[in-house]
Amino acid sequence: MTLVLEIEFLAGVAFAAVGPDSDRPDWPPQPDRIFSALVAAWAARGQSAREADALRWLETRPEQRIVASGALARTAPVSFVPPNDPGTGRIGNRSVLPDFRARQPRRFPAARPDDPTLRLIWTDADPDDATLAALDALAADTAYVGHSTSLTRCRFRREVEPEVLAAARPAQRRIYDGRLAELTAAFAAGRRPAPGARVPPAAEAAAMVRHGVFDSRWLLLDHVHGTMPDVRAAAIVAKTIRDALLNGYSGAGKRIPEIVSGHAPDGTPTRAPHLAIVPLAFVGAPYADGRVLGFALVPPRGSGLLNDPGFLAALRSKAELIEERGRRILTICTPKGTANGHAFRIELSPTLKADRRSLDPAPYLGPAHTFATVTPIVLDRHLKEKGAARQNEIIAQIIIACRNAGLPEPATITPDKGAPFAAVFPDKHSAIEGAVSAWPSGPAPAWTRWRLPKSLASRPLIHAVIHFAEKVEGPVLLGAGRFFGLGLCRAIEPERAP
Amino acid sequence: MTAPDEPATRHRLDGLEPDNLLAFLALLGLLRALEAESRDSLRPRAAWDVEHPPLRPVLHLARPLTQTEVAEAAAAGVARLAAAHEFGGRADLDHPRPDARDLLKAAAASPETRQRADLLTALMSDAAVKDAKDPATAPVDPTPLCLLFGQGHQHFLDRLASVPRTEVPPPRGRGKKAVAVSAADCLAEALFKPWHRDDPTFSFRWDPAEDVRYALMPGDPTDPAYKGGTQHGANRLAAIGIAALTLAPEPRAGRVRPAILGGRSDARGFSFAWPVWREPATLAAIRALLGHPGLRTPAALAHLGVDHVLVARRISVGKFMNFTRARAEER
Repeated sequence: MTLVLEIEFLAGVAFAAVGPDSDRPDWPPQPDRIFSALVAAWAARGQSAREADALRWLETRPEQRIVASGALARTAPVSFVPPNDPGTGRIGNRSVLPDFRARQPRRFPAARPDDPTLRLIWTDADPDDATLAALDALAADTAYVGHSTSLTRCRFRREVEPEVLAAARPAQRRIYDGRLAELTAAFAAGRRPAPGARVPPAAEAAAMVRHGVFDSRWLLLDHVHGTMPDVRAAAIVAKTIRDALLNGYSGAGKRIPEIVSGHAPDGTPTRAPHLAIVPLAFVGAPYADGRVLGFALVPPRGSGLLNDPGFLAALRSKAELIEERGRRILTICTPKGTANGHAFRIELSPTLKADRRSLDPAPYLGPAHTFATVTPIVLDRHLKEKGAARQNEIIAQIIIACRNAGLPEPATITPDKGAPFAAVFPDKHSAIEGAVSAWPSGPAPAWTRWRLPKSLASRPLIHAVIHFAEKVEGPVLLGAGRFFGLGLCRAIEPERAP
Repeated sequence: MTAPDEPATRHRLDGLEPDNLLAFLALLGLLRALEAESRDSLRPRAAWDVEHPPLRPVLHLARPLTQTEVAEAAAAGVARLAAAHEFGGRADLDHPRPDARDLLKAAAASPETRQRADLLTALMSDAAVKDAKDPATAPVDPTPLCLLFGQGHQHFLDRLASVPRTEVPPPRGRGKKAVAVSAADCLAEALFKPWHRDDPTFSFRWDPAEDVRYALMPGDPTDPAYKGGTQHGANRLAAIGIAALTLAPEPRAGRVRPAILGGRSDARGFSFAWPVWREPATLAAIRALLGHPGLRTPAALAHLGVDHVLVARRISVGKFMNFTRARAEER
């Protein structure tokens, strides 16, 4: 039998911190946090012996699993809040007045789940009616899970839909026999309870995720000064960044490796994966405007490029440490003589973790089944077909692009009627909010087109949504412009392990 | 679970929480103290009781002892090792390079002073000094576990000398209700019981509970009732345990900096990692695990019986530094 605790976050937000030192929200809430909420409800309801027995029964049930959607982590800036209960013993203590209360820093990490309903499942639990009634009474009075602003509606159920059960994943922490006693003892002693027991990650789940040739660890280049060109010029900026890096190798007296230059020692283009430089734009949100907030250096998977002393020396030689600003600054500018409308000079700061959400690589990494392009794919070949056949030709090229990027082939959809087809959906427009279309509308001026390096200038561009049969870990970079940030995809079904 | 007065060769250390750096250092200190007291007859080893949550370490001994006897042996060992905690009245770990070199050489000169050499080599190296105009006289760059540099009148060496020698904390409570504890009781509390942190003695800021965020406190932060105490027994053991974490100079970012067993500095700052191992291991084996190059790689030490690895980060909170509660880093 299966027992399910259904928790709906009524405000669509879950406030819970990983720890006081972290700005990361704890999503999904783990069984130990949820059990603590039930115990708090039990205490608030008068510590009934019957309900305590039900909690003790619950803590001995093995195998706790969670069904939770992905979530967007809200930014958690430092807020200054009044501490609790200022002393009132002193006459004339004005610090009791709201305007004069001292303020102390804290953060409020929060997650905004895609689906506000979370389910905690015990796969081998069959409570008797009295126990279930006691648990359900506790659940009904569990007004919040985590921070008290995470308002919830909770209920226990015996039945669960098969598809929900199929989506359940092992928890990361679990409760265990004696947890109720431990919590009550800690509360009585005024101590913070320890987290629940750790559950080792399931090895087989990780093995099922496929990935391409690019690494998920990126070096971010945070835009700190200068007018950033529009995303349509991202490939030009990326190429300028690459040229600056190559120049850095020369400046540091190092040989330029093939993995950075993209060229073999004899000068021919290398066939091996090499460094990609991608734009990170404000996209994928209701008010996204597509402006570029930085770039990222994406090395080939397993290359260790970001730790390579030669690479670091080259980067340091171009990105000097500016003491007053407390960061390294890489200045990127177009060569002298560049046409007025196309010249730029921008300052980028290398970092592994940036504050701005648009610079977070996570949305590009998944893992997920479905990805959509943020920047259009540059097709490897010119199109020859017309009409409906042209669409098939594009799809075929995108499938080849997936193969070239070390990714599995897209899934095949078999409709009730008609022939099976590949789950690739090319279009002029991106499926990601705020992303720019692959080509401008008819009467739009020429400068609204994507600006490409000469080697790619005549190639067709296309956006696409691609669905893979198995989970893929990003980054997904497709097409001939993938090393210059074109064909950059974003997961559109963020599926994160609980 | 073993009754406190029942002799046993296996003792679950319920006081030592797995995610607390102070507790882990206390575990090292316990092994070091027992080895110093009666290594041959006790052969102390430790493992983690992974199968029985909550996770706690278990002390394994060659002959059965009661919990009280374990604590007494540890107290005797701590008293013996505390003799090496003599720093000539220096309050902070800021020896000029020549002084540090002389101290280290003197300690290493004789096998009789092995304990002192262990301690000093865990604190500093004359090869790793701070940035200064004259490197020849620059002060040493201390162990990354040194969080006290005189701020708030907190002095590291001063405490490292006094804490192990302070056998008992002041009596708890006032007047007739005051309760005095013995040195062994104090250690037994730290090892076998949940910590209450009732002692007004010095600490080293290794306990994450010392990371006091006023905004997160349940009451008035200025009320003395909320002023946190320490677990003196744990700090005594940890002061002894730090000597197990030998420091070595390491070239990093164009400079020579101190590195310790289990420690790593990266873009996010310094962090200390320790493994959760399943089979009983001696102090030497634990030191080997801490120094293993694969310590931070997930599952890399599985073949050595390591279940997972916990990592505590050093953070700055206002003018003070603290360590966070350790978390398992899976990837």
